[in-house]
Amino acid sequence: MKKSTLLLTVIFVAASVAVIGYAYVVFGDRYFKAGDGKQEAGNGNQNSIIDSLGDYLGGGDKQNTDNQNMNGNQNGNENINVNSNASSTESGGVTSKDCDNDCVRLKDNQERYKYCQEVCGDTVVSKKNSEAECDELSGLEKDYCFRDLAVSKKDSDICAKIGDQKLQSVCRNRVTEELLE
Amino acid sequence: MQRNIKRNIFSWLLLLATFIFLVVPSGTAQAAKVTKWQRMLEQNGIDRSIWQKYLPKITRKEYNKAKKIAQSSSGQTSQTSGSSLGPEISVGLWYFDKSGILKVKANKSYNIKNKDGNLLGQVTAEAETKVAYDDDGKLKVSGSIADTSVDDKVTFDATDGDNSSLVFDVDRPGSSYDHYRGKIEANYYRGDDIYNGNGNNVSQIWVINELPMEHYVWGMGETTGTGPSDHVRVMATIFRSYGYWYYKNATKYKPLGFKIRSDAGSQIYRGYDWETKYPNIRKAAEETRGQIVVYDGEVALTPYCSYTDGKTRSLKGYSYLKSVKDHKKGKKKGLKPGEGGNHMWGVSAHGALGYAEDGKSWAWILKHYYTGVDVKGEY
Repeated sequence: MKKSTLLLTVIFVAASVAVIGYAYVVFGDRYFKAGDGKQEAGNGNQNSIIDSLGDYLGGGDKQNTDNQNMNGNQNGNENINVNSNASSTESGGVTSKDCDNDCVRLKDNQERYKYCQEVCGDTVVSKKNSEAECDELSGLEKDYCFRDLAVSKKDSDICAKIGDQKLQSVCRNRVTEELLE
Repeated sequence: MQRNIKRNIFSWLLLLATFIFLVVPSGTAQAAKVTKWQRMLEQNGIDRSIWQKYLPKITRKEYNKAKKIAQSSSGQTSQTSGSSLGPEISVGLWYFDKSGILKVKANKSYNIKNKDGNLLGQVTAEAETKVAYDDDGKLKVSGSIADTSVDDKVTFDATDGDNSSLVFDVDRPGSSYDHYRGKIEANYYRGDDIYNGNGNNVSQIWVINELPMEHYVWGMGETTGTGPSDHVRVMATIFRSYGYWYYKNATKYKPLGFKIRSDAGSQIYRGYDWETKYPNIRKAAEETRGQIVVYDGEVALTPYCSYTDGKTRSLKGYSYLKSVKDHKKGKKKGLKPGEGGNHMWGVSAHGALGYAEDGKSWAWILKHYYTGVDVKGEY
């Protein structure tokens, strides 16, 4: 083999190794790291992101951030202000504008309309006496029942039995209103 | 020979391709490389001009620096913007039944609007408008305009659009506090008696005052504001924070059309007459404009009481409402928690007065009674 050919072969092999190595770094960085980022958001770093945004915008906007993340910022409205880290399924897309407008936007969907009214406080709390009354129910109806029971008994511990995070938060605040009077 | 040349050309071409693959993408990839901290800055909406200088690779330290700069500039804006009076809060003044009547006049010309915001009339300042129950859930507006039957709500606001200088005289029955800043509404409600909580089915026409948070604080009837300035600042800040918590979180009186009561059930609000009679409250509110008590980035609940038995009480679910020792001036012998509606949560007004007389600052006093809180400019 000629010297020049040998030299070229060595350079070619070295370059190939460099290309493969580089490709590994580039592709790893481009694709695998993005996955890591998503994972961080779901594993607790979401809070730090939301917290810092809340700090930046002012404390009162923290919940808006929560809900914008969950609801895809529907209509660009400010979301209802409740202290919750509710998931998208729990929030039901209820915004503060919905509360101001008596939930008319959601009137076509009976379940969401009722949920909106319950979250916004459009419905009057009905007196409940025992947990047994609520245990017979299921889903959101059960949650509404526990909210009513908690308010009737002025006991925020009962709110912990509510599955929906937003309703749970509404419940706590509502009980607080009762306690303050 | 020809074979060698071909092989050499092939090798050089390969090298060239390697070079292109290695150098060109490497440059672009380097420029596009975004660190986790940069992503967080972008997601947090922090102005790029603040962190541009840290590019291409933003570290955690630089992220924190940028965040701090953004926070301080945001704070400065809210401090110096000067004119913000805060969000509007709706206050339930009183209600009357189907036989009652609301009489309204103002200090300048005002609009009368129906539920949908449509104009029913524009009247001069001194023209008196009356609202009474009509029939079938409707209200009747009369006096300044021809008798008009409307749906369950009537709103009065400024003809010139400036509600901040609008003061209504609502001729409040049995009260000497007749004047209120901002908008006035009459709202018909039929259903369970939420206000009295007696389970009866009632018909009530609520008179509601809607006004900016700062104006609300100016008319706060819980104090005369005659103590040391730091004490009045403490009170103004907790009135505002309390109102702000209700503005954000309250739902109980939504069916009646308002967020907060004007009596001791929430906090006593007496409006413009009180504001002009006791100007120190307004002065302290202006000195602390937009400042609210926060905990963990959220508006804190700031209950307060007149006296304690020597220490305040904890409130379950609110970690900053912990039992703390009260100033001797706030201690009243024989007092028991819960008696006469005295919950002993948060600031003891007389204890705070004692601390202010001792020379403690308003921020110190707030942080003494509300454990671990901060005071922050919200608007």
